[in-house]
Amino acid sequence: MGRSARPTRRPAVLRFVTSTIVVLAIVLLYLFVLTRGAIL
Amino acid sequence: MSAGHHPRLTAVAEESRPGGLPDPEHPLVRPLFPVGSAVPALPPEGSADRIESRPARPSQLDRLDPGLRHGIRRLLTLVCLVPLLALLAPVLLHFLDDPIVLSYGVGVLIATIVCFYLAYTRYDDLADPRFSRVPDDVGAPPLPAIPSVTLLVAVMNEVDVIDACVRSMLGCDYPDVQVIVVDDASRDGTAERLQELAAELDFTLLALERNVGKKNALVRGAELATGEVLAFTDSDCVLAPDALRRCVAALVAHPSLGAVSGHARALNADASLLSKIQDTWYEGSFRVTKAAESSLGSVTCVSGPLAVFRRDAIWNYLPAWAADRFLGAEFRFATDRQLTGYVLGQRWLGRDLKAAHADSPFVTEVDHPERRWRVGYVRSARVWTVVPESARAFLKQQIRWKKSFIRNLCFTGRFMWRRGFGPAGLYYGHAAWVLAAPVMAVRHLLWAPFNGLWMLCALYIAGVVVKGCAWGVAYRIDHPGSPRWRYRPLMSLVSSVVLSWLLLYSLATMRRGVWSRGS
Repeated sequence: MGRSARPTRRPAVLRFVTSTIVVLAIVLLYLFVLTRGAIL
Repeated sequence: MSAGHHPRLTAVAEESRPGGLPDPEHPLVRPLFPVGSAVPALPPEGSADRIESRPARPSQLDRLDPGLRHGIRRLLTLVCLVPLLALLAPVLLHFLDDPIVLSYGVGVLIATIVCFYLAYTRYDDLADPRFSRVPDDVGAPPLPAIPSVTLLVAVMNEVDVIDACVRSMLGCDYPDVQVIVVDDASRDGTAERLQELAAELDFTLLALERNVGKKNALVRGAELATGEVLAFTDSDCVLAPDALRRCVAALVAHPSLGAVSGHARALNADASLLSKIQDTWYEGSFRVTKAAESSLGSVTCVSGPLAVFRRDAIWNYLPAWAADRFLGAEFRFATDRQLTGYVLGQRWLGRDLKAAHADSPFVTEVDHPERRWRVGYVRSARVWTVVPESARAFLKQQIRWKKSFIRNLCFTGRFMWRRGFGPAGLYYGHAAWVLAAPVMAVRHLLWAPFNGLWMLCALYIAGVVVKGCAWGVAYRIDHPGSPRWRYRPLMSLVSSVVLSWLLLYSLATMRRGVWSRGS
């Protein structure tokens, strides 16, 4: 079986890192709005 | 370009017959729910369903006792709303410090929370006989078990998409449907393509020699309609085979409903970043906003992609619709909002509207009583529409919608306060938000930076993104596993930073307008 057929961990790791960054960014943004007062 | 040049549309056109798959983004799966005995003997569901996978599946919750199910839904929704309620609390505490500015934020937060709460705790699919409850307090006679339906579309210069649209109309699994296509003097080959289709397929083609506008074209088509139910779609839309049946099932099951809207998503969602953003916006505005309005029986816009009406709820008002004028000129936009307005407001404005067109055959033929109809939304009635892929086309569409909103505000705004506190609050609250949005954008994106108040500017943008994230989270909850929710905050940003300004331009150019999508 060629190398391309083997599942690699990179996309999963990347997905996890991306998701974590996105969630953290949302949480920080939320805390910023929560502490400073919401203007929507 | 014909449908044959558009691979995505071609796929839909070829597979729009019952049993066909729309495309990978809209996988066809098992039925949403069995149509039980409470709904008339419409065709049994089966492979004809074209429902997006996850939200279509019956959940564990649906198997519980209705009271327990409702309680759990309410609890889960309140838990999910805690972050928004937490945002609201401190703003309310400091409300008196700056009531004018803070009232905007408070209003937006409260409206968002109320919409989410109603949509997730009070709305059940109106075609689902197990849960949907609509008070029968209108006094309208029930429809027959299988009412005849006329499905109409008006088209002008839509050669790219008309194949897919007509084939999906004819692919409806409803047993008694008359399909009427009105060509409003197209000049791009649509007329010729429709002639070819009419020779191949079974539908009525009405080819107009002179362009009369969408409303007039549809009314000309309605003159040929025989159905007890009139359904409209747009020429850039593709219907799920069971969408019409589900809408009619809702009208049959609930005699107090004068009209119902289907659930629209983007057909070309993958085409560009802009189309992805719009797709997530469509989902929220139907799944949440329309569902919230539906729970109060007052959906204010039965949307063009699939708008289904009882004949007796709109027939007498079709001439008023066709002759709609605003600021002294013919007004060609606001087709769906305006028609919905006649259903919502006929109890109070119906007599005058009929009197103004007393000579029209639509009025003289039969005089339907002016009723206080309810208007609903059927989440399981799926329809896909082509959304603008370029910024230019997108802005033009938004300007048309803003003009429609302004025109309709001067009609529906006259009576919505009579429909009760809830519907009035949602309607006028939304209107206030749209009108205040450009002022807030000027204050926070121009005035604040010019005066060195960068934190105020950042806070505004952050607030808008957080609000978009709330809609994104709702999308994520409804579509587990789908990464598309991430585009929803972008729509809030675009809406506040770019689209809010269009209100002023729309006001300045109200009298200008033609109806085709490309204009």
